[in-house]
Parts: sequence; structure tokens; C-alpha cells
Amino acid sequence: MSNPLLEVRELSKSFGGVQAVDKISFQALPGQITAVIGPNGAGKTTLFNLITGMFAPGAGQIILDGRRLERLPIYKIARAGVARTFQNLQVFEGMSVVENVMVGRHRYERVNLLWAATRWPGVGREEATSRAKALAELDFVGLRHRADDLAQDLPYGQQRLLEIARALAAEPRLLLLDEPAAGLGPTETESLARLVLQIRARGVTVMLIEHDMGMVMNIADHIVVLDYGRKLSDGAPAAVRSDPKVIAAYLGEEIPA
Amino acid sequence: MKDKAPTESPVPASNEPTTLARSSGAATVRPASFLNLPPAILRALAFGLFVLVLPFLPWASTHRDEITVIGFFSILAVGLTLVMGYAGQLVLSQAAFYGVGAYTSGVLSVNLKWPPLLGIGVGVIVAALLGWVSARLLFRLQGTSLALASLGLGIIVITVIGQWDEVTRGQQSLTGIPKLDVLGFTFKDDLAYYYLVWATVLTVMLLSFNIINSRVGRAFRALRGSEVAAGTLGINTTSFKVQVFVLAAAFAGLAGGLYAHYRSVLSPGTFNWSVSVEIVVMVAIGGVASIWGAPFGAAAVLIITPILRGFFSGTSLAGGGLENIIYGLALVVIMIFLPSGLLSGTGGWWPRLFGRFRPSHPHNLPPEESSSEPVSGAKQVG
Amino acid sequence: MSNNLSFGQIWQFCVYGFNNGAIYALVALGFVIIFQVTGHVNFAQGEFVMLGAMFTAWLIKVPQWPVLAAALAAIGVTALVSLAVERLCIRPAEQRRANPMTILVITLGVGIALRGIVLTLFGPDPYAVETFTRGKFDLFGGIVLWQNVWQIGAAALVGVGLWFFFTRTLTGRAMRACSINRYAARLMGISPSRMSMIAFGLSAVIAAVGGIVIAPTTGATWDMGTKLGLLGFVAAVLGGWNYGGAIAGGFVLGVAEQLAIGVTNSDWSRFQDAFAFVLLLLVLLLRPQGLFASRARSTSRAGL
Repeated sequence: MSNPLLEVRELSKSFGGVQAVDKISFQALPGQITAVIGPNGAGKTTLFNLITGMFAPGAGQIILDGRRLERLPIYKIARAGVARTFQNLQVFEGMSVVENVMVGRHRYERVNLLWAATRWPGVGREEATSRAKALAELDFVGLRHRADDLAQDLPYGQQRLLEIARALAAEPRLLLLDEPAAGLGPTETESLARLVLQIRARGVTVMLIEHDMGMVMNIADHIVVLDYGRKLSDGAPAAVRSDPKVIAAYLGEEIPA
Repeated sequence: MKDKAPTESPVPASNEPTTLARSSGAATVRPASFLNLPPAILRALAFGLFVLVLPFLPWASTHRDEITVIGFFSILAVGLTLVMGYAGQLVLSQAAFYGVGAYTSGVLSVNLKWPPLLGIGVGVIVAALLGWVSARLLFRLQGTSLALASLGLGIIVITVIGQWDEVTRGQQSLTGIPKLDVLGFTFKDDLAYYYLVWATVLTVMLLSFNIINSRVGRAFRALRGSEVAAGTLGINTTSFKVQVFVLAAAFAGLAGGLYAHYRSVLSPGTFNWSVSVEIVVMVAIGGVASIWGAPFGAAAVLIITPILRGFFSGTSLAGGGLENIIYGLALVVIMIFLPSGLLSGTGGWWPRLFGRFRPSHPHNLPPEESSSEPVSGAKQVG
Repeated sequence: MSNNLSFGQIWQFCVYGFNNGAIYALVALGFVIIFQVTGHVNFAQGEFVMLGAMFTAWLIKVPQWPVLAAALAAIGVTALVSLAVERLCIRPAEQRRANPMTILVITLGVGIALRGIVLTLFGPDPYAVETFTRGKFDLFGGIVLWQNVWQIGAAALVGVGLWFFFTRTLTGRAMRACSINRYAARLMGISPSRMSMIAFGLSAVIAAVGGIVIAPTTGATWDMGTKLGLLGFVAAVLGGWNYGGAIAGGFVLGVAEQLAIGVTNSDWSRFQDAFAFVLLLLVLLLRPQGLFASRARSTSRAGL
């Protein structure tokens, strides 16, 4: 197999004495969907927050294609090619849907304060390009028809799609999806699963936190199981499913919806 | 492919997503400015026309001085609107930068006999530089602490202005500031200065609109919406916060320079920290995220205050107590009960009155977060 | 003031500094309690100091209450005002998912309104308050007023009381849990809403105590709160937004301010109103996490 796109080594983080992430190591291979599962409080979102630089790790390394990320500020990690969505939605209120996605184009745009204030000739051209790219991403997730609505006016499920489009507009190499199916109905979840597969088909490496085990087992190439901040198991879906440790600690008791 | 979008409303038939042919959407694209222009131009023209005839209207013709002062405060309020309404930061040093611009220009023209225009330019630069230095320092503070620290900055500036007698003449006031002249034309009478100030207000508003509808403005608004999400999209949040702070400082410096050569007299009290608070009230009344609201807010506060004082003169409410109560309660009530106007980057509640009404929408989030991960808790702290 | 100070003079300035520092420490503690528990910076904190001082002064002067009764009543009223502010102004905003800036502007508005109300009710003139204990004594060559002992003693008492509250009582521990991780605290059955009320009440009580003990020295006026609030805020920043740091920050600020006035000549000491904020900027430049930051908390907030 190829080299991993993302490699996490011995990553740890504690909050006020609680070990939220405890020496977790795993790899995400390029072009694959890696799912992170585990019960509530297992440290999944903390893991994503560490990878995207929202928290500084207590110890350990995060390596994206040979480059160390763990000491970089959030925006530099983003520019290295990591994008994410949020479990508790973070759409930009007061901005239209297409403007939200255009924010994703930020790192490809060059207009600065003085250019913008004076509407320098190049500004309009760059705006047009960004808008076209943003609309294309909205097309991709199926939100083109709501481009000019205010982001906060979208229903919940569409806000999730908007976050995905916004992240994709940044043309990431690694896309982290934090419970994208939370709050969606069965048909919506199904089409979301298809969307994630299409994202993979674009060559984007995906990491996915998800509680819907059916979806995870269907689309994931690789699964990392966390429990109480530790890695319980790690492997292909079939292997994880039959891992006695996973069955005992997680699947055996209750399967979260 | 057609129904792959998990939408809750029916997907229109025109929605034919083709996974990799992503350029398909480009055909119908028009630049954002083109879409926004017609109503914006209409409004700008109407406002410009109003400004043009205002000095000759009944009440206004005898109150040109007050209206010119409203102009200075409009510039200050536009700057603060960008900081508060678009970048989501409360800053209480606007009056200090106003004072820095005024005193820089005043001191240069009185003590060193520099031409006023040059003095105003230098005043803008000094205010912007001071804004940059202090922003770099103040933004090391976590989120909301910035406001108090910026108030501290205001107190440093007012103390220096008030006590540095050799240069500013301190409490004795700086007098004899020459009138502004540009290429031989001296802005001597009220009317000329009125037009100069309000032309500046319109220019500042135009620059602000241009910024808001650009990459930079989107970064500002993203910052306000969710600083964390903005960061994960590659926005250097600190840099943009500093930029908007510097911009507001430069606007304030410009207002100050114009003020110095209008009044010809400067005294420290004009730039006291309570003036910064007054500007916050103006911005709140105008609608925090509304550039159009800024001049309305400034006008409302500056017109209502003397009326209130006159109305209650002789009672215990006249000593400034009533203004404080009203402004304080106005801030509280507006901030609690008009969140749609405040949370929307597309306009405050003033523009809504003028026809761009949009119903406020409740948040679509479920009431409880479903995860125990510490991100939500930590975000509230930071 | 000459540039060459004797040790005795320096010590005297330190005594003045401790005296002011005690008040700064009390205000800073109020800031820190609310910030730790709710994540908000309460702009009206200084106005609670003012309320404590004004109510006490008025109760002593007009209905001629004894000092102790007036002080207790003033503490009670200030706490009630603070609880009302929390319920009527902060809570509704939180329920509407207001962003931090919005809440800050609300507390700013509360502060302005409180000033206006007090100005209207009690007028613009300062109220003098007689010292609780007259006289002075000599401590290692510095003169200490007995009133200063009240101020420093109040800060010490509040510090010890808070330590006891946060380590030995269930409610205090719940509040600390809340400040470490609000979600986890809720899972354990702690109500963040109740903790927020307690935090506002407690910080108002502490602020009022500060106002009461400073009133005999400075008098009580409607506009005394803003400056004290800002200085308390500076102390909280110096202290790195934790309880011990707030007390230490208050005393450091008080002493530094007095020494700066003492060692500088009149060319510089006329700028004394700005000293505290210059110190704030220096600290931000050299040690932005504060002089007494606890490591665990400062790292957990890094990056946010």
C-alpha cells in the first residue's frame, strides 16, 4: 500500500485531569474513508480538534504527508490541506449560502484590505472565479438552488451539506467529517453516504466520526475504535466487527442509533 | 444521482449534479457586486441627495453645526460597526483614536505650522499605527477581555493628552488651529465644512461596503460567525482582527483630523472614554451589523440627548442620570431582543424599516448537543 | 518627590500600595469568579463596588443606620441587583445563543444604567463615610491607618473564605467542576444555570465588601466604579484569571502603581492614571498568560 496521508503517533490530551485522548496512534491512507467510532465521550471529537489544531496536544505527533502539524496554528493546518465540518454546526450566520462556501476559497484568493476598499480592477474577476467555484461545490452537494438564501435559514440537514461544501471549496487533501449524519433521517443518511463516496472518488481522503454503524460498515475502508480516550481496535470493517474487545466494550452492549 | 442530496425540501429538477464536472456552474455566474449594485446605488443616491439638500431644510438650516458633528460621529460609528458588527469584537478605544487624529493634526499645524491637509494625513497614519501596535498587544487577550483592555488604552491616551501640557496644552485646550485649506480653497463657513464632512462620511461608507462584499469582508463576517470555523478554513483570524481594528482606528483618526480644523479648539474632555461608550450606543441603535445604520444611530443619540436634557432640566434626572439609564437600558434591550438584527451581516433593524424586511429565523439547531466532547464547553471559555 | 527615596519612604509607598491592592484584589476576584464559571467578562463589576459603597454611605447618612447594619444591607442589596442582572439580562441573552461580544455589551449597558440610576437617586455629590476605626500606628517605620487594616483584612478574609468555599463545600466544588468542563459538570447533575447565579451573587458580595471598606478613604460617588473595575480587571489579567492570581495581581498592581508614583518625578507622575494600563500592556507584551497563570488552564485554552 501507499504511504499514509495522515499519521497520528501516541497522541494525548487531558482536560483538568481527565485523559480525553490517551496515546492514540493510527494511520489514514490516501483515497480511503477512515471512520472513527466509539461511545459518547470516547474522545472522537477531541481527536478531530487536535488534528485541526483547535487544541494543542499534550503529547504525540500528527503528520500529514511527512509534515508535522501538531504545533501549527489552526489556519496553517488548514492551508496544509486539512478541512473539517462540525458536529455542532458552525455555519456563518448572516452570510448567504454561497458566501459561506466562498469563505472556503479564502486561501486561494489574494485580495487585501486596500484592494477591496477601492475595488481595484482585479477584485471583481477574483470574486467571479471564487463564486463560480463555490457554486460548483454547492452543485456537488445539491444546494445550488439555495445559493442566495441566508445560511441560518437552511434546515438542519442542509446546513450539514453546506458545511461539507464549504470544506470542499478549500480543496482539502484530508476532510474530517464530524457526525455528518447526526439528526438526519434514514433516506437523508443514505444519500449522505453516497455523497461521502463521491468525495472519495474525487481523490479526497476522508475521516469520519459516525454513530450510524450501518453507514460506517458500508462505506468505511478502515475503522478506528476509541473507548475512554484509548484506541480499542483498528482495521478493516470486517476485522473490527469481529474483534472481541470491540464487541465486549461497545457493540455488545448497545448499538447507538 | 438526482436525489442524492439529503434535502428536506423537494430538490428542484434543475439540480443535476455531475460529480467531477464542477465547472458546469460557471456559466450563470455573475460577480457579487453586480447583483448587489442596483438597490445599493439607489439607496446611495437617495442618501446623497438628502445630504445635499439637508442644510437648507427648515430645522437643519439652523442646526448645521450639530449635523456636522453627527457627521464626525457617523465616521466613528462606521468604523466601530466594522469592528463590532462584522468582526464581532467590542472595542472601546474609538474616542481615543479620534483624539489622536485630532491632536496630531492640531499640534502639527499649531506648533509646527504644518498645512492642515498634511496634518490630517499624518493624524490618520499615527492613529492607524497606534491601532496596529495596540491591536497586536490587545489581541493576545482572550476574546472578551479585549474590550476592557481597549478601554484602558483609551485612558492612557486621554491621560497623555490631558497631562502633556508642553505639546497639547493639556486642560487649557489647544487653540488657534487653522481652518482647513485645500489647493487654495479654505473651508471657512459652516456650509463648506458640512459638505466636506458628509462627503467624507459617504466615502467612508462606500469603502466599507466594498470591503464587506469582498474576500476581506467575508473573513471579517466569518470571524464573527465562528472564529474556530474561520480558522479551519485557512483564515488567519488574528491578522484579520488586527486589520479591522486598524481600519476603525484610521477612520477615527480621519474624523479627528477633520474635527480639529473645524472647531479650531481641542480639549481633552471631547475624547474621554465615555465618548467611546456613546459610540457603542450609536452603533447598537443603528443596528450593529449595518453600515447604513451608523449615521442614523449617531443622529439619534446626538439629537435625543439635548432634548432629554432640556425636557428634564431642573429635576434630579437632568444631571446625566437619565441619559445613562436610557442608553444603558437601550444597550441591554437591543442586545437581548433584537438578535436577528445583530446576528445578520446583511443589515440591522434600521434598514428593515426601509423595506428590506426579512423575518427573523429561529436557530435550526437541536436544543441539546449530543456529544460529551469538550469542544462546546471549551469554546465558551475561549 | 525626589528621586532618591529612603527605604522608609519606599516602605510607606508599599503600605499605600497594599492598601489599594486589597481593593483591586477584591474586584479582580469578582471578575475571576464570573469568568471561571460562566466564561463571561462582567463589565459592570466595578459598578457593584460602587453600589456597595453608595448604599452603605447613604444608609449611614440619611436613615442613620449603624455601620454594621448599613454594610450588611448594602451587601444584600448589591447581591440582589447582581442576581437580577443575571436572570433578567444575561440568561435571556444566553438562551438566545448570544455571542460573547453581545453579552459583553449587555454588561456594559447594565453598568451604564446602574450609574445612571445611582446618580439619579443619590445625586452627583460624594458621600463621606467616617472611618470604621480611627487612628494610625507605626509598622516598621511606615504609617498605617487603622482603616487600611480593614481594607487589607477584608481582602484576606474574603480570600480565606473563598478558599474554604471552593475546597470544602459541595457548592464550591461544583462551581470549580463547572469551570473546568461545563458539559461534564452537567452530566454529573450540576446545573450550570444555578452555578451562574451563585457566581454572580458571590462576586457582587465580594465587590460590595470592597466598596464598603474603601468608602471611608475615598468617599462614595456614583462614578467611582468604572476606574476600580478597570483596575480590578488589570489585576485579573496580571493574575492569569485564577483565584490566587487575582489576589496576588491586585497587590502587585497596587504596590507597582504606588512605587511608580513614588520613584518618578512630577514630569512623569502626572501620568499616574495611565500607569496601571501601561503595566497591563507591558505584561501583555512580555507575559501574555499573566504573571501567575496556572499552566494547566492556560494550555487548555491555547488555540481558542
